[in-house]
Amino acid sequence: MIEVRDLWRHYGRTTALKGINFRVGQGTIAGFLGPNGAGKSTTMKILTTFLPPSRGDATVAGHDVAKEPRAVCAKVGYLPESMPIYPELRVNEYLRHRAVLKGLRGREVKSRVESVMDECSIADVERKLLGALSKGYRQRVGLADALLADPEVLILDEPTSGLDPRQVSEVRRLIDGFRGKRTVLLSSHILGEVEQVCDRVIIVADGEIRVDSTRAKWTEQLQGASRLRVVLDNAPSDVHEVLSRLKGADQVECDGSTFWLRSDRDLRGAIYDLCVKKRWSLLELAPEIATLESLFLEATRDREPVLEDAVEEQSATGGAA
Amino acid sequence: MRRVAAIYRRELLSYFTSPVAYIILFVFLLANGVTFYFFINAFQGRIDDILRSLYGGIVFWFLILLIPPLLTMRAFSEEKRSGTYELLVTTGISDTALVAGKFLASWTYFMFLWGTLWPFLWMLESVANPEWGVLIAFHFGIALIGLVFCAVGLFASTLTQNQLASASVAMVLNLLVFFMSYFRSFFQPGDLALRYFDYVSPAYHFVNDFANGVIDIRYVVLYGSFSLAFLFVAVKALEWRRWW
Repeated sequence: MIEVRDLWRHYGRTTALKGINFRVGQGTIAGFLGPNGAGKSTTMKILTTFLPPSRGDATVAGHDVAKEPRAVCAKVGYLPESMPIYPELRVNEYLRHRAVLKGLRGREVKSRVESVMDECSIADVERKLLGALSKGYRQRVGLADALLADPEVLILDEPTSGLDPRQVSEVRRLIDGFRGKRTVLLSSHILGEVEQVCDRVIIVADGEIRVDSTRAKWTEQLQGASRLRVVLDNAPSDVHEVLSRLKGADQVECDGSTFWLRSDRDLRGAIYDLCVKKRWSLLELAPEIATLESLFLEATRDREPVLEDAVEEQSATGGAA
Repeated sequence: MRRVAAIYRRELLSYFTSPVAYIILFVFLLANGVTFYFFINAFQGRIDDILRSLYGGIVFWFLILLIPPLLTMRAFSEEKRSGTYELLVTTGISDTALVAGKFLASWTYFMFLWGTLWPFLWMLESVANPEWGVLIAFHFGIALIGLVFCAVGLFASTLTQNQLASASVAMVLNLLVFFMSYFRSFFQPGDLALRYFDYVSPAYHFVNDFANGVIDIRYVVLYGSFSLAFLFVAVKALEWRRWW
């Protein structure tokens, strides 16, 4: 479980997080979305105890990140953005090294390393040097590393960035398998991915939370936002009025010869019949389904992101050199 | 302890797989080989002079002062620059364990370098009769001073993400430690301050004690506490960076 209460983070004079609140329940997969520099990575770094919060508190798996960082580390698996590596180590050497650092012992090390390599399908490259791996493999090694200590909570910063479509779907399937077992917070730029995998979506922009919604809620919201597009050839002037009077049509918008109807039922048949009856020549009749993307754009539209990614990263890794 | 060992092992492995360490090894062997050859010829078997020059000459101090910073410059700078530091810290490892592992690894490599001198010394046996007690004392001194300079280097490495900056800071600190002996000239014989500088200046220890085969427990305390102090500051620097 992850709980964040009134979390603030300043980098010098810049404010990266402005008092965010959210809660991800046990076994839930939550998607963390937002434009670059919105505060996603900062939040994740705080949740993994790498950065201290400036104000407010966060609890991960029942432990406070500022007061009991060791206990938090023991229960969290973390995949940082763009998976940093030691190029001179082999995959199995690296994972064994990480397993020892994470406090595994003796036979446990060997068995856990083997099992995560299987789980992330990297067993075929176990003898390869990390520096020689492709981005996709590297990312999966990172994911394997995150899973090593069998963590209760997984924090994944853009787990599928740089992967090819097949690898993306593999990783997605892997994450999907965690549902109910591990609490996952994953950030992503790929909205479709979040839409498919996550039970909950949190959209941040400019250090604030704009949307915090469960799958049921956003599906309903999106359904409400879906509409039907009707394009007519030389639409006569009374079309708008006629369409508005159509049974079930809640709202009609028009732009030249294109009309949009919102309705809670399927009006396609009725509109076709109407066109035939009125002898309108129908050019197009198509449903426009709202996606998470429209929700995202809506939530992040009003203000341009202030923080640059670079600023965030630099300060996060230790600041002025 | 197991975590310290894990860090130690990886760090040593990275020395033996990185080109920088091999370049250092090459330069080290070349410098010592050339001086050795030169002194053997110059002193015609006068063993005391050979040893005094080998373990107190300019090349010796050059290697002692400049090699530790090159060995430790990567330690934290590289981890921070590449982002692996974040992965390291989020395993829950303590800063002390991290510093200890890296420190022991750099010191081990440093001692490995100086260990390459033993074949040279063994060859000396055929031309002259070196006093092995003196040689052991010299290497004991090297081990002690290596502790200090590796600790200084690690501390410098926690300050910056830039390896060059880290090495430069460490070299400056090392030179400060070394040149303490030069402050002697400001004082009259018998001054308390003079005695103080004699107590703490490495060059003085090498010329006066290690060269005579003296292994004094005071040096263990002095260099030991010096290095512990720098390691402590290094741990604090890591902690401070995290809370910044």
